[in-house]
Parts: sequence; C-alpha cells; structure tokens
Amino acid sequence: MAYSGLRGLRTAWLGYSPEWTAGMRRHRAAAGAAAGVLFLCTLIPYAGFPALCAAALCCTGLYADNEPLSLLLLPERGSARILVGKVLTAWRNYFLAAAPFALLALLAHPRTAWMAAAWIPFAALVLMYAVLAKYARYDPSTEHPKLSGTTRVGYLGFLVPLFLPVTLCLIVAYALRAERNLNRYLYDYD
Amino acid sequence: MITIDALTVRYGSLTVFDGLTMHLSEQAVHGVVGVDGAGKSSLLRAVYGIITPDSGSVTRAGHPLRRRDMAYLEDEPRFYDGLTGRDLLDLTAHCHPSSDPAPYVRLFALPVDRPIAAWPAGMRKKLALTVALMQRKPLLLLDEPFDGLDAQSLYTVRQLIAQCRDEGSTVLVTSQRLATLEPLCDDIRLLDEGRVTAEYRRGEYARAAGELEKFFARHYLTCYHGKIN
Repeated sequence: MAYSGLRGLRTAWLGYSPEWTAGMRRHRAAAGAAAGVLFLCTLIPYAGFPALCAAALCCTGLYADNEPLSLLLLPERGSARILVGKVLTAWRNYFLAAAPFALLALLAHPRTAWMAAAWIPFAALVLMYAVLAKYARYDPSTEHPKLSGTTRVGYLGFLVPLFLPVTLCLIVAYALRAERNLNRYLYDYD
Repeated sequence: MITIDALTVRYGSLTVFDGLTMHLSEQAVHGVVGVDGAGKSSLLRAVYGIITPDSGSVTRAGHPLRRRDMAYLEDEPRFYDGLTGRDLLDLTAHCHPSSDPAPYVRLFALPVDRPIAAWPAGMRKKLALTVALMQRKPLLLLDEPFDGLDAQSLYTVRQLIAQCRDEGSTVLVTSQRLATLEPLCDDIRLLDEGRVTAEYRRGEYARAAGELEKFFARHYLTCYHGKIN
C-alpha cells in the first residue's frame, strides 16, 4: 500500500503539533460538541466571545500531558526555539479554529465587536500560560503530571481579575523556568 | 574513531560504569551483549546524553559527539498517547525533510492509521526503529532492536542496519542474545556489571558463544548452589 498521508486528520493541518493532533484524535466528540456550542453561543447576544474565552481555557487541557523525550528531541531545536514554536502553534491552531465563530459573532451582533479586543489577548495569554506551565514542570518520566497549586492559582487569575497580577507574574516566572528546565534535555541544540 | 573514554555513571550509591573505555571504528556495526542489568541501556543513554556521566567523555575524532549526529532507539519506546503511526511519521518527516518513511512502512507493514497505543509491542518497536532510521544520522544507537520481533522482521532489521553501515553510518547495537548479533556485527563486546569483560572480532564468535556459555553456567552455579565448580 502506498504511503500517501492523505486520509483523515493530518498533523500538518495542526502545525505539526503533537498536542493538538493527539488531543483532536482523543477528544473528537468533545471538539465536535464544542463547535456546536460555540455556534449556538454566537447566535446569542454577548455570549459569543465569552464562549470563545471558555474554549481557550478548555484548550489548555491539550497541554496537560508530557510527551516522551524522543518527541521533544525530534525537531533538534534549543529550548527557546521550542517554546516560541509551541506558543505560536497554539495561537495559530486556536485562532484559526476560533476565527469563523468570531466572524459569525461579529456579523450577528456588531455591537459586541468591542469584546473582541478583550478576547484576543485573553486567549493568547491563556494559551501561552498553558504552554509555559507545562514545560516549566516537564519531566519525561512522568506522562500525566498533576497540576501544582501555584499553576492552579495562575489559571484562577483568568477567571477572577483579582488574581490576574499573580498570573502575569507566573507567566514570566514560568517562561524563565521552562527554558532552564528544557535546557537540561536540549543543552546541545541551538 | 568514536571513543568512549573512562565513562563513569553512578545512580546514587550504585555504580553502573566505572572508567568504561571503548574504541569504535566508524562505518561498522558494533554489538554489545549482556544480561539484564549489565548496563547496556545505560551505556547507550550515556552516549546519547540522556544520562549525564559523572566523568568521562564520548568523542568522535577528538571532538565531543553532538546529539544532532546521533539517532537513538530506546529498549522500550514510548509514544504520545493519541497519535497514530502516520502522525509520528509525518512529524519525523517534517523535522527531517530528506527522509521517506514509505519503504519502512512497506517493509514492516506498519498499520499507520491505527493509534499507536493499540499496536502490539513488536510493531511499536518497528515504528520506533523506523523513526530512528529515517533520520539518517552518522551514529545509530539501537537498544535491543530485535526484542519482540518475528523471524521475518529480524531478518529485515538486520538488513536495514547493514545497509546503514554500507551507507556510512556507525551503529552501536545491544542485545541480550549473542545469536542475534553474530550475523550482523563487525565486533561484539561482552558487558558484565558495567565492564567490558571480553571483545570478539568477526570470526571469533564461535569462541564467544563457548565463553558466554561458561559465564552463564558459572552464574547459574553460583546463584543456585552458592558455589563455583
């Protein structure tokens, strides 16, 4: 049988992200249900963009598990490049998927356009936080790590504005820690 | 020449290697045989840099070996839950654009559209080997590549490793069984408790088999009867 790589979901569509590819395969039904809920919410005034924010929070679950070290080493990139690539891929995949719903919400309820100005940075920060928190604690011997209390407080900041300064500080702290942590495994790549 | 020089690896109070030295000629297949716990996997992990040695070095022509010049096959490969074989091969091809998985998919009849988690152990090993071979690195570190394979796959894997050598790669391969390495390797080292206790060139493998049999018999008598005859 010829190897064509053309059938079904392709990892190339998801920016060659193993997290998004595995997540879409494992949670295909949930992804479909989420699309349905998002569609309905875009039809309800002032519900579309909050629903997209909730979807961004749900997407952080794709970064719950640790990939095997062999997969981390495969691109042969240094820690900084890996982290930047992971964050950009997360943004790419989320915003490409969310764009049709955002457009629908804008067309259905033009008065809610101002909410997009809050949704975009919110979603971007949430996804960045998820990626950095994952690699700050990355340990290839632990496939399903538990969320630390500090990380949970960081997520709380996206729901309760009072904790948002803590979240922003954690983003910076996790970025530094993630690079140091990944350097343990990627020390001889640029 | 690839030189493993005075390698020392300790896990707490346990010394895995203490001053292990090996000289590996390039464009050859080097075998390492030993029982469970001899240090075969730790040797490859130390060469690949997953374990940081307490002392010693691994160099090629006097320069430190870089991991971008190596491909490594684990003895028990792990995969990201949820990916299919096609996903992993596409990822590998994306990272190494000159690679082509199609010949390996055909040779091993890999069920690429099924989730890897549902594959039998032998198929998973063949997939991991495919990923390692696709990268076309100058140095291949293969930990128990024959483990769990059927006879046809054994033959195929041997042919692929020999082909890598013929194309200029150096291969360091481990096994628990001398018989699986004999047809393939240019030399074989016996590893016991972190030390190379014997080294055999091609043509000396019959002697190796006899000495290995005596080694196993001594081990059996010591453990079972508590004495050496």
